[in-house]
Amino acid sequence: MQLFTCPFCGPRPETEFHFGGDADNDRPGAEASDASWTDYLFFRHNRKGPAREIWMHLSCREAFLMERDTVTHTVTATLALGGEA
Amino acid sequence: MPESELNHESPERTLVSGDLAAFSRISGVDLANVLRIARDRALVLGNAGLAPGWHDAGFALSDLSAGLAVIDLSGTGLADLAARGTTADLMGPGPSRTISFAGIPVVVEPKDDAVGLHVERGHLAYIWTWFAAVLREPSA
Amino acid sequence: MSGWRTGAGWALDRSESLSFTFDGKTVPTFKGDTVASALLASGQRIVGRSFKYHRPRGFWGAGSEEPNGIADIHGAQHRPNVQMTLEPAAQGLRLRSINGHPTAEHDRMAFLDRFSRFIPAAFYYKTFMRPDWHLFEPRIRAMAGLGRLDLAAQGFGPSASVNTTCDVLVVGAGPAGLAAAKTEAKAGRKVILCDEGMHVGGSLLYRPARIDGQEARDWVAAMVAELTALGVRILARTTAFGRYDHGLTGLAEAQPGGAAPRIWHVRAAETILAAGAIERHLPFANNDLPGVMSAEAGLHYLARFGVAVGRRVVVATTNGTAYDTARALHEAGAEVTLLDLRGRAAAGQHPFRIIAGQTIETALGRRQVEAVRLASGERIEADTVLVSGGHTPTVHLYSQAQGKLRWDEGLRAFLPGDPVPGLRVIGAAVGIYDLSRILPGQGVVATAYGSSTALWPKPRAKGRIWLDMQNDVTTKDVELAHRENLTSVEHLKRYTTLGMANDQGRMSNLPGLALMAELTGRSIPETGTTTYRPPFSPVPLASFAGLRGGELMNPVRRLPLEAEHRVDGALFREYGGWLRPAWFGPDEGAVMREAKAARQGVGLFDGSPLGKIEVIGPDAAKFVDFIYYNTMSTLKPGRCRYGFVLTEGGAVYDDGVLVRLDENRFIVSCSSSHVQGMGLLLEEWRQDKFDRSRVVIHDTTANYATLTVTGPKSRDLLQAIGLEAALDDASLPHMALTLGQFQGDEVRITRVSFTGDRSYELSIRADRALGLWRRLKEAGRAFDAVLLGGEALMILRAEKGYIVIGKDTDGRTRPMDLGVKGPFEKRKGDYLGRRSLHLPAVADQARDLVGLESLGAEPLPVGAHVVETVAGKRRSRGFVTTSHMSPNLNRPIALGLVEGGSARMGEVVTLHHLGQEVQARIAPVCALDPEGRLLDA
Repeated sequence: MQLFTCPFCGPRPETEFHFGGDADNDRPGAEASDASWTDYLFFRHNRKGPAREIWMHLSCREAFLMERDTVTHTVTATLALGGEA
Repeated sequence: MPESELNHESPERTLVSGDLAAFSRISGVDLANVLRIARDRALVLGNAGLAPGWHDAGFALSDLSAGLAVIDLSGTGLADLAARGTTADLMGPGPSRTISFAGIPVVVEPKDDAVGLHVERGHLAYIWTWFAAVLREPSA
Repeated sequence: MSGWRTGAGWALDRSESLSFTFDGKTVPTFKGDTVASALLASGQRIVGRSFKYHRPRGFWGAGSEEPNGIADIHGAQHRPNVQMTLEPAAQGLRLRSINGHPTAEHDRMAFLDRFSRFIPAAFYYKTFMRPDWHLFEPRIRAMAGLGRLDLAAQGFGPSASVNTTCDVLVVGAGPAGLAAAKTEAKAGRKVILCDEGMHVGGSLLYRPARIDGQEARDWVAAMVAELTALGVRILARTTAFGRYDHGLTGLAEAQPGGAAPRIWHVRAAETILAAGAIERHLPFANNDLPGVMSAEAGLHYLARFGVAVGRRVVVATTNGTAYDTARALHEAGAEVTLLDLRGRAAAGQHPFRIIAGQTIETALGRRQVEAVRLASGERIEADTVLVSGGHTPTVHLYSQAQGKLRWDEGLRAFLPGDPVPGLRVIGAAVGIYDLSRILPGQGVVATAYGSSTALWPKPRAKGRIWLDMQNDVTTKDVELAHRENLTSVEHLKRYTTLGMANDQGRMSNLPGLALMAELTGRSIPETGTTTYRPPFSPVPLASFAGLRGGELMNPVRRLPLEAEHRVDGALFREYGGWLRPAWFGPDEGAVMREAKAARQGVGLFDGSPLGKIEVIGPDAAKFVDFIYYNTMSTLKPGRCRYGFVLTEGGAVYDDGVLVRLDENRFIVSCSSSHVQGMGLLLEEWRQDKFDRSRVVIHDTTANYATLTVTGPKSRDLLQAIGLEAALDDASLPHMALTLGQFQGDEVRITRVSFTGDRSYELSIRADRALGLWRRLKEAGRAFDAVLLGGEALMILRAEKGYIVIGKDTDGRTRPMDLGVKGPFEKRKGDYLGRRSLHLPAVADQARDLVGLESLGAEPLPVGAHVVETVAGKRRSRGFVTTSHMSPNLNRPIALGLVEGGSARMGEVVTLHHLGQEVQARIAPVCALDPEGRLLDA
């Protein structure tokens, strides 16, 4: 049971969170090629080690960036997207 | 086309999102008395005194008076009970009042000697059954 | 017999004589006994039969390392597979040995041992294969396994798990753990101390020692008092079974009276592992005979329970710790011979015979130990052999925390290597066995143990030498694995099952890998260990479930009007996470009656779970344009539009009606089963793609009850009630909304239809719904109003071909497959999933939603496949998604997803289901009133 720190609510158990995929997987524009669109839809880096991920805290529905290590499970940072309210 | 505002009493519980400072200014509600449930969202207990929908100052209101039931917990066994239901610190400070309790989302309202748990009304039967099961057990 | 009670034993309260039964035999006991100590005291030697060979087995140890002494507790609170060494004896317990039929003492399967040559490790990969393994499998499985489940019994009672945080968690309350807890508590930290034993104190409960002038046990008692005064939480009978992420440790706390152990989730800033070390066995032939025990256990039983495990005792040891055992048993009156395998006796005078430098070649005896024969050939009569092959530090939690072990040649043990953040290992768990080093500066007076030697199993040794007692794995099995080239330690484990039983190789892993190391010419560290995984010792599934059983598992949401529906005779079922009326009345025949009556007069349906997610703000129109497949910004205030929300992959995720209240305010009426998912989807895109200060999402579903009034007389009924709103069709056409009033409360009247008839959805504050509902029922009598349950509603919508997402669609169904092509062809701007609709090749296997008319009188089976022979092979071309007998059409109706279905109208196809075939004609989805005239009827 990992412990993640929601940038707004603070530390909570992982069951309160929803994995939102790789960070930096920016949605291509409407004129994207088939290849770049399917890349965006289906391909994940699946990094072994440090990774940047989007997570959502289901309790407050804040979507945020988490930098964590997929091997050691160490969380190095959780950052609000779009700045402080 | 319906008239957009009917003359109805102000809701007793209101969900407000957006510029909370602006909301506080215009409604007169002190932000210290609202339950923050997200970075830009709060649950107002009592009269917000404003109509639902968008307000040009930058916030929106929706009525939630009938959507929540509240259960008050008090007594010396409160910490024990909380430990059964959540990992969060029920009485603790912290900006957010929304936690997961007994597996469902709950908004926590600290009171003087008690704690109010606001649950979605559809969950009331479940959480009541849960409390009954836990209170039957010997304390840890 | 052999075991007997001395007059001592500090744990016992002899004031009352109690008893329990074991395999039908009455066993006397006292309060403070464990089942094991009472059985040993009664002279019961054989307490079980081994897993494969059904060899007689006796107790080995005194704690959780015990491999043989496992029993089922029978009765109302049946508990299988209980470790008798940890189970407190209690009046009236009924215990049944495992694997012995009819009893452990007399087992009719004992003959299997004579065929052991034919059933070595992994025999099932090679034998019993012809003609078919499945012929033999049931009998072999019936013979294997330990313990019996009693399905009629209550099982474990539930125990809620507890979440707690602390500064320091100390695992193990022996001398090292107690001292560490005191240090941390005195520094002002919040400390939790746990121990798997009934009493805290660890080895101090039985090893002779003086600390600071006190007897060891008195020192323990003083420490407990001091720790309690310092606010330390002490949990006995609590096993730390698993180490998880971010400082979380799972504890299982035994509960009284048959309740499942309670799980503690402890998140500690620091965890100190003081779990001690487990005594090792020695390799010699027949080392599994009843009467062969751990020397430490022999001492433990004597000191704590006053039970001497034998009268003629041989103690064989590679180290100095067993001298405590030999001395104590001698003083109790046993005849003791000690074999010091180090080659010379320990310093000092010893009142018992010592033979130095001689190993045991074999234990002798048929059903229990009768003698041992040394390598020299000397035979020593004995009824008990107490062995100590050294100690293995209990490093499991360190390894579970991804710590890497290192081999210490001096101690001949795997010890914790580099530190793991947040976890410290101390005491015997890091190979420190000397009490004066564990408690420095406290005037410790205890036995000096001196040096130790090692005795690993040797290849090609004579006789059968056991490694894993629980899975009946011997050294010959390791040699077999080696011959078959399964030499990695992970293969060795899985091929022989060494270390795979519930003792998880506590005694067997190290000698097993030491033997494999020698066979392969590698060192022990080169051979390595298998991966340590939780739980450290078995934890019942009931503990992990906690309270989440019965109605507390996957709780359903309840309707505001549930009590009223119950009074009206509703039968409830779960629909999309809500408990809702399926029909009203005593039998399922009500469904057809309701569906028919609703189209004739008026039906009343509680649609409260319908999603009501508000999208509010100046960017709300832009937002819904992006979210929906259909253009929504053109929707006028006071109007509604039916639309799809797609996944980014282009499949239809949800359908529903979007209601526009005003310029800046929309209500997403998503389907009731998708409210959570839609809420998350809306919130995700709001934050990802839009300015969150200009559009907000409010889920107000719970705030409103939604009461549906449907049928040709629906408007008449609403007008009869008086909702203070203009309800004529000019003022309120289909797909529009207006605001009304009922007894001072606002009612949102939305004219949408899921039945195909004229229909209105009334949304009112959930706490004011009862009055309105009762008024509808009361006034409805004049219009032959009928209460509608979910099943009837499903038939009504099916007659119209209205879809249910997830039933008439799957993860591939695109809007075009449902006949909605307009936005795909005409919309200019971007929307969710748009790009995927233009991907090639997806269209080839697209399945269209079509109607299916059964050629027979019976409804088609849901899930039946449309089958065709293509290039000589039978292929599925689609399947039936919805099927009902229609009371309004008096014939079966069905919907299905069929490849290319929309181009095959009128074709007859063959459907296959569970070996039967039927035929159906492809038809339009709407079977009733295709022009939609009933909407305004």
